[in-house]
Amino acid sequence: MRPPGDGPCPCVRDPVHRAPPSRPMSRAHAAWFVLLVLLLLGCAAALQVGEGDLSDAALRATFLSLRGWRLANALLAGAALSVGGVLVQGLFRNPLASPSILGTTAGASLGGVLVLVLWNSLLLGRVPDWLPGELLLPIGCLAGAWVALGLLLATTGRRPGIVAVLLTGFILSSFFLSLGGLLSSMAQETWELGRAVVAFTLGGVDTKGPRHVAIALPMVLVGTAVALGWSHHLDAMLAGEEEAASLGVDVVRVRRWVIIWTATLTAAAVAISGGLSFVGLIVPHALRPFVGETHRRLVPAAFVGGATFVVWADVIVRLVPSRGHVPLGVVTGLIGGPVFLFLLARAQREGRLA
Amino acid sequence: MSARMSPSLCQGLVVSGLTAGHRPRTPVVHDVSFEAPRGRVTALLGPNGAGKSTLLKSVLGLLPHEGHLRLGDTDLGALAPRDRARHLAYVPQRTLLTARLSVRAVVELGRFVHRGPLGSLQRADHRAVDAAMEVARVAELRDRPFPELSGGEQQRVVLARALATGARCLLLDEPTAALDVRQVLHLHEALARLAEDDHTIVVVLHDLAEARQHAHHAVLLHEGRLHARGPVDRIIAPRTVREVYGVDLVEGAGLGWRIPGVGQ
Repeated sequence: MRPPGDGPCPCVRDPVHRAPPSRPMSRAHAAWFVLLVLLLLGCAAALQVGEGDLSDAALRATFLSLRGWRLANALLAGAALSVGGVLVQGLFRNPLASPSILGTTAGASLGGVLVLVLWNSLLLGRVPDWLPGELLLPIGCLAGAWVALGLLLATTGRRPGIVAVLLTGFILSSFFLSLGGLLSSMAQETWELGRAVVAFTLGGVDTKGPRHVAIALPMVLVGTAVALGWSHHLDAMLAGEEEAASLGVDVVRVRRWVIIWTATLTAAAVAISGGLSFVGLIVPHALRPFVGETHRRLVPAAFVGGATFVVWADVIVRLVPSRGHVPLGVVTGLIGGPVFLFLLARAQREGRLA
Repeated sequence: MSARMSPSLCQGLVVSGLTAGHRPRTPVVHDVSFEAPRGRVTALLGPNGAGKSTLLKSVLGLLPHEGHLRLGDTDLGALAPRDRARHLAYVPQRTLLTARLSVRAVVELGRFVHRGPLGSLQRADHRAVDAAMEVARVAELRDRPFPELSGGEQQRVVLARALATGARCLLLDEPTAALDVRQVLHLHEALARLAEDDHTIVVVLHDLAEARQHAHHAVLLHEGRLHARGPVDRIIAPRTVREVYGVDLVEGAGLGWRIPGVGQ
């Protein structure tokens, strides 16, 4: 069985040079097989589960289309965050980095809230003719994500240690959350605006439709293509910036573009799903032992793996018996938090945090 | 300097008037000039803080610097970093690589600048990688995960990565500092073979006995300036050692080593 998703593996024609270890290769194949099966099952479940009765022939098409767009948004958000995670982990040579831990998600979220509030207070809900209303939120998220990553890099300097990066990300994240809290309490003066802000910050894809897909899809596809294009640069940077530069990598340029595209991917995910934490951390981490650490193999696997993870999280959201609505970000956080703690504890034991 | 070493005739690495440092305004290395001939091992010597690593890294283009750098007929200063990497290869004291890449994948990193627009390795790239692994004697480790290797094995893999670049000039920064005596001998034996194969080898060394045993030429730095250069026997001499290191050289002292059955 050779799953179709394994296409990116650099297959060598010369038999002598075939990618050597047969066991790791079959591990990768098995991982891809499991991933694709899980993805298909998740998509099927996402279409079957939820409010609304599919047996009603009149409403069946409507429900399926609503769930279909919700599914598409979940796929995109997961893929974007997961590939973004691979990019920052490569950039910081640190498997514990991810857009949410570095404060990029919180920054994008704050940017989105800021836009919502400004739009309603300054522009009184009106938008200039040349600007489609749906673009406002992504623009805010994009600006927020770029500022957040820029601040992180400006404070940690050129050769940050792991602890410095994690601490700075934590502080930035808390700061952005506080600012977001301030804005959202100010927004409560207008009931509708307050509701919109809270719904956005808690995260979810349940009300997202084709326009969100149309906005996020190009950002996610281009971001992933760029990640694949930089994969050999990122491989070389696993050996540190100095060694990478000696091998001919233009480190400054790679760094700049990786930051821009990580922030863009994060912003796309936040714009369509609010803040989903830990996706970019645990998905690449779970995949590395199976597909290896070379980015040519890791990026496509992370794309599919992230999509699968968020689709299943969104299925769980609908399965939890609850009167109200369980936000998607809560589910990814509930799964991701303990996993991250476990990884951190293991890294501490193995002395990799020094 | 003898005529043989004059820049116009030297086919190796020519450094003239090099001033360099981590910050351009406070250079660590001042106006250093020397030649590292092709087909020879040149040791870069000096006490701690003399500027050996700074000099090496600025030749590689990793640090801001002024001055002229030439390799054979190529003006290195005029080259973009990517093109400089085709001519110069670097072996650090200890690689920062901790990712679980296979040995072969690590050596393939050396082909970075040779990859096509789509990033795939061609037949010539695979040949270069195989040849580099043979020379550095890591062919049998090809499928092992890099972090599981011993320090000596890792250093040979990094040497293979440097060789895979196809560069004719190797710059090594204290490559033997973390190795045991046997691994040190193996590394120098590999360097000697590369020199015979017409490579230009510049290696930063701490151990003067090691330098005298394995290098042909020496460049001695002191407080960021060139103190002496020439054949290693003439540089590691009582007068220079006392001037630079502040110690007396005891002739005939110390232990010598060789790999059993190799050379006499």
